Amino acid sequence: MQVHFKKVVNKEDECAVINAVEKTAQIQSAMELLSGEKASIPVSHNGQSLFCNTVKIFYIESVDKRTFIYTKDGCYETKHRLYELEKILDVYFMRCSKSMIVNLKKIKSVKSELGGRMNATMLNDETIVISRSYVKEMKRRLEL
Amino acid sequence: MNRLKLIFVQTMMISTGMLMTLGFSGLINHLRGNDLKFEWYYPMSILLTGFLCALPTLLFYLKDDKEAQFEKKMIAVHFVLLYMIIAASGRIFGWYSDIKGLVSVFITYVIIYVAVWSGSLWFMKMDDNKINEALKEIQDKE
Repeated sequence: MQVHFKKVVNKEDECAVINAVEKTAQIQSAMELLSGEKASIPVSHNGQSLFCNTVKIFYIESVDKRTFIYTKDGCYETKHRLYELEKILDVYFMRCSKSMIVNLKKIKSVKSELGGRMNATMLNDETIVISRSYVKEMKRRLEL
Repeated sequence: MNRLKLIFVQTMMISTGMLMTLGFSGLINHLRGNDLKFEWYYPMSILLTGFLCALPTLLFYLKDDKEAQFEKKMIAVHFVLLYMIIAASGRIFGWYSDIKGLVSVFITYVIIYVAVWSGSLWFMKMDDNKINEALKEIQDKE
């Protein structure tokens, strides 16, 4: 895709127009980045209320009806359910099992197992399982 | 749909393996001066056996989140089930008539079993490589 930059004088005149055949995952991501819509999720940690930037999330897990957000070196609890978070988060966040959402941008590598499921090694060397039924969706999101 | 595709691919791989083995044993027999008797129903019986042998593959789809121990047991069950199908098919279609023939079918089966699994693992590896390449493109820098 060709990328043009045109300098403007006023801040109010700043505008980005993307001419594309379809709104792909990359374009959606670029739009979110340009519009500054990178979301934060309200979380709690040791009784403190905080906001967790979605770009820091590795994966989100639901355990006994409680939802936990895992970052590189921390674990936070959120009141949101997984299905609610799926709506908030960008296309690189996808269900990898019934109880987990993974951030594809934080996966270092994947390895297929015999039953069709995959083991994903995260950038912090943790390993999670991508269930067979979600492997196809992952390929779709990666445009494979 | 995925399972149908899997059954189809496995049927084709197993049948091809069996036909190749039959072809090679025919060639070896011919070179040794003993021609192999090839019945009219052999191709169909190979295809049917290939299909029946592909069905136990569904065992691996019983549970989505299974442990490695369960998977090993499944492979053992799969191996035995397949051999039972081959031995029964061999008996029905007359691929062997004595114990020596049964042993020869077993050896052929082991060769095909290893070859098919190697093929499947190779395809899985190719798929993994494609996904890993795509993941690298979007990966965050930590």
